[in-house]
This record gives sequence, structure tokens and C-alpha cells, in this order.
Amino acid sequence: MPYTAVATSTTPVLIIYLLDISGSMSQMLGDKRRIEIVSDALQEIATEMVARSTKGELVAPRYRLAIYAYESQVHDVLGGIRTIDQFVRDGVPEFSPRGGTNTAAAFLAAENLLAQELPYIQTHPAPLICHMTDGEYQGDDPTPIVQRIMQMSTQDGNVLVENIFISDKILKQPVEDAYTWQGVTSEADLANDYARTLLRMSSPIPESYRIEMQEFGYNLQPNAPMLFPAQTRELIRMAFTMSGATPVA
Amino acid sequence: MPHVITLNQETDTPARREYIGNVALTYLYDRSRDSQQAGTRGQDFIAFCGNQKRLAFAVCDGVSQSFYGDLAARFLGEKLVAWLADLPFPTDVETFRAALSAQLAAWQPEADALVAAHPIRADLPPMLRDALVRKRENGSESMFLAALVDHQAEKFAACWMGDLRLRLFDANGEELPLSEAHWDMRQRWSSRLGAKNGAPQVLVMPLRGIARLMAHSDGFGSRADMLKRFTLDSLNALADELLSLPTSDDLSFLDIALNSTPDLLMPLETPEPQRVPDQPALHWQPVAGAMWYRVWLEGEGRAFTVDVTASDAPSFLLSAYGTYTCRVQALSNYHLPSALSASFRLERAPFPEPTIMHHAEPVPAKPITVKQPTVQSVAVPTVSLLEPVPTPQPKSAEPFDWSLVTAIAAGISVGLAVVWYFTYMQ
Repeated sequence: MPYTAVATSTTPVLIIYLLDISGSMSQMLGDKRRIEIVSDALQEIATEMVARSTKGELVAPRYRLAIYAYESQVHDVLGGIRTIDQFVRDGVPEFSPRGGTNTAAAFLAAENLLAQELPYIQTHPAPLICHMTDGEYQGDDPTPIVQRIMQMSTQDGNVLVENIFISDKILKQPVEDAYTWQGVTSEADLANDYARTLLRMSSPIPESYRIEMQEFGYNLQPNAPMLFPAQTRELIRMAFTMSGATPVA
Repeated sequence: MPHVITLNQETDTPARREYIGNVALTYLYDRSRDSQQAGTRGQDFIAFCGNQKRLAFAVCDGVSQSFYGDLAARFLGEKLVAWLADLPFPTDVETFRAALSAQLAAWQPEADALVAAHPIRADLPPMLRDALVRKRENGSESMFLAALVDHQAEKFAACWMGDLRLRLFDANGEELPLSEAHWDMRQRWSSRLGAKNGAPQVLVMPLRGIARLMAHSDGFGSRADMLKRFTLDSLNALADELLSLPTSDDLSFLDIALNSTPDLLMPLETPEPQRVPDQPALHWQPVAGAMWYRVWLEGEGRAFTVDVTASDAPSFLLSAYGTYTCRVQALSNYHLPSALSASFRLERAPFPEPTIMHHAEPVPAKPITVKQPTVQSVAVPTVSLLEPVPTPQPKSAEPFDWSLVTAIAAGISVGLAVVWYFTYMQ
């Protein structure tokens, strides 16, 4: 059964964050800049990962993280992959928004990393890419790269791709409550072409992840796409929660 | 007050066998690989207590997703065994369930206070402290399986919450069905809520036809079937094998063979401890055949034991604060245990230990409040500074005497002011 391998200290899950830090991320969302809200959400899910990896005060390396921040260029924020017990010592990085939105380059960097890693993590849980953006890509279309990535796999299943779109223009109807929202139910829910592009770039949520999300109080429907219209702080938090929902031992 | 015999959570106990009356207890306690490598406590707990007439035991599995699951496991295990040991044998299932439910609720405030007072080290990284503070809000949790075997009534009563396993075997080693038993891994006892996700499961059964009772944690996974028939060596081999798996978890195993006698009926010689001068400690000559020793302690309202591994120079150092009466017993897998030694009074006065206080909270008894770290407060490079950033030097390593630098700067300022005055004002 796919996506049932548990993250342990000897079979940790690899999570790659692709974070758009283009100039538009400095725009306000409520009383905070978008980039600050993303940092807060990253801090929160990292703390949750630490809690899920901790026995007493021992942090078992059940998660491996890579963070690529991108604008016109891609920046390897952590300088490679860090285990959660290493990440806990440094904390969440600080981001400075600027430049354009070269989404394809970010996914290409992730693809290269996965190509290096996959031979060594075949018995581990399927890796997950969590992509967060607030605008349409500039330059090359990332879709072919993402589709190649979605064909990569471990024995647990194909690589998962989650998309978080910070925008109020993605859905025809706004989400009233993050906890009762069932996810994007059909393409007809989406308001524009880029939202439909992101839908094609999003994996269906595995049942094991959906059950974990239920533990956090969220009620996504089976096979909902891992596509999150992040119009509010609550939805951003929910979307980042998904990125840490790999079952753990 | 009965002495509750407990296995040390800070170390591993290989498969051992000992005898209480006509009952042989075989047990093993192994921490997970992560815990062994890091030298931290196991989250499981085993405790038992008994005499010729009755035996009480508990196996607990602390929930690692909770706040220090080992804490709830130990607290609850000791409470359950002490309570069961003195409990009039329950007449029926519902009476037993009601009495147990009342106890599980009654113990909650004491455990809650214990959790609130548990220190979170000040020198931990902020993110880890945040995670622990978050966990503490939900309390410490443990699954449990406990039982009372009454030889006179020829019955046993068991209770549990969670997925620890109780298994029964007949004299031929065949496993007996427990068709009425229900195992729900969501159930557990919480220091914040008491019984969680439903009422505890209970069972009251005659001992007729039962030769062995077994309790074990879920760490044995799919290999649990191999526990039907075992030797001490095969138990150790199985534990080693499980330790090498990626899913290595704490292992707790307790088997109770009724109507059993040791290979060698002669009890071991009784140890003859002596006080170590100027220390709250005992030492004694090794007892022939002894494989480990048990120190029985009583005082400060507690009765408990500490096991000591056999060596060429066995000794015991009191680590608990207070005054205790201590007696020593020799044990072996193959002999009857020795009688208890003469008693000695040991005292350890409480005094601050600088090394511990250095790592502990300033006021451990108070709830911890931690300032939420902000993005700005995290000392990591921004993405625009991806080159290595020089690590700030600790203050003691600063190459400058800043008071001297300040004085020189002030002198230069005064000098420049004088030059400016004579140049432009005259």
C-alpha cells in the first residue's frame, strides 16, 4: 500500500521546500508581510516536526529538510540537506524578498537533488516537495519538470508535490474556514488558468496524510489535490501542516 | 506498604528470570536504538510486586508524542502495582472497572503537578523548547496493562488501555483465545485528562487451565508470535534483531509462569553488606551464583527497589534524598533468591548540585513560560548572504578592552574639538 512507510531515524522522510521570495512577497497580507507569514508558518511546522521527532528531549532525525528560496535565481538556504535535529539548532532562516519568479529553476534544482538522493532512500517514505508562491512564473514553464518529478519514486510511492498559492484569485468562492474546507473538489472551483496549471502540478493527498491532517482538525476529502489557496494566515498554516504530515514511528 | 519492584528505565535489562513463591517471572527491558545511542531513558516501564498469595504487575508504554512519556509510564506503573497489590480481589468486571476508573481519575492531579514541575533545560535550542512546551500543554501519556494474580482465589484480574498485549497460554504452550478483550491503540492515560478515549478495558477470569500469562509492548511488532516459546537466550537474540530494524522501539516483556520451580532449589547465600564510610552507600562481597542484586529501600513514605548488576565489587550508592532503610538481596536466573540482608540506615541530605542547576530551569517548580522566538531573533544568515558568515565570538574571547577603546575615542574627540577651536574660532 503506497505512502504507509513511516519516518524513522534510519528511514527519514525528505522534504524539499521551494519558497518564492520574489519582490511581491513583501506585500502585506493583513497586518504582516507575506514573507513573514510564511516564515511564521515554516517555524510552526518545523516546531511540530521537532515535537513529532522528540522522545523526552532527544530529537530523532526523522525528517530531512532542504530549502530552496527562489526569485530570478535559486538559493540553497541550508547549504544542502539538514536533518531536523540539525535544523533545530539553527532555527528558521530569514528571507529577503526581491527579484522575479523563476519557478522552473527552483523545480529543476529540486529534481537534481532528488535524482542524487533517490537511490539511497528507496525504503524511506516518499519525498515531498512543498512549493509556495504568490504569483505566476516568469520564464520557462515549470510544468514539464514537475511532471517528471511526479514520476520519480521510492518503494513507498511517487514523489509528492504540494502547491501553496498565496492569492485571493485562485478560487471562485473564498474558503470560509480552514478546518471545515474539504479541499479543491474540481477544476471548476478554480478561478484562473494559473490555478489550473498548479492543479496539474499537485499530487492527490495520500490517505495516510489525510488521516494525519484529521489529527490536526482538518477535514480534507479523499484524494483532494495538494493545492492550497492561501488567502489567509490560517490557510497558510494548514498548507504547511500538510508538509509535515508524513506518518512517523 | 508493598515494595514495588521496578526495572530501571535508564538502562537495558537483558532477559532475566526470578521466582516469587511458586511463580517464575521472566522479563526483558530494552530501550530503542535511538534511546540507547543517545543514552536517554526508555519510555516503557515494568513493575511488579508479590508474595506467596498474590502477584501484581504492570507494563506501561509511554507515548513518545506526549511530554516525556517515560514520566507517565513510571508514575502510572508504580501506582497501579501498589494499588492492585492491596486491592480486595474484585467480585466482577464492573466493580473492578469502577474502582480502577476512580483511581485513574484520582492520580491525575498528582501527575499533572509532576509534569508542571518537570524542568525543561534552559540551554536547549529555542525550537526544541517550544516543542516541549507545546507537548507539556497536552500532558504526559502512557498506555498500560496491569494485572493481579490471586493464587488463593485462583483468579486473575487484568486492566489495560492501549495496545499492550496480554496473552495466556495453557500447559502445552498453546495460546488461549481472549475473545472478549478489546485493544484500542487510541486509549491511554493522560496526566492532563486521566483516562483518555474511553473507559479502561478490564477482565476477570479464573486461573483454571492457564499456565502462563504474558504481557508485552508493541515494540515486538510482527515478531510477537516468536514469544510463544522462548528461552532467555532466544529473547535476547530477538531483542538484538529488533534493535537493528529501522522501526526499533522500546521493548518490554514480562512472562509469568504459574506453578514453577527453579532448576536449583537452594536459595542463594544472603549478602552481607557494609556501610561505606562517609557516604550513603553500601558494599558487599560477591555472592556465589548471584547474577544481580536488589536493594530494597523504605523511607520518606516510599517503598521501592533498585537492581544492581553483579560485579567483582558490588556496591550501591543512594541517589534519592532522605533517610532510607536498605537491605540487599542476591538473585539469579537459576536459583531461588537469597533472603534479605540485615538492614542499614542510609541518609542523603538534599543539597544543590551546581551541575544540575546549571542545566535546569531557574525555578523548576513553576510552569515554564518561553518567549516565542521571532524571525528576526533567529541568528541565521538571510538568503542574500549565502556565503559563510563568521561565527560571533563569545564575550570572553573579545580581543578588545572596550573601556580602553572608549577612552581613546573620547580623547581623540576632545583633541579634534581643541584643534577646531584654535583653527576657526581665533
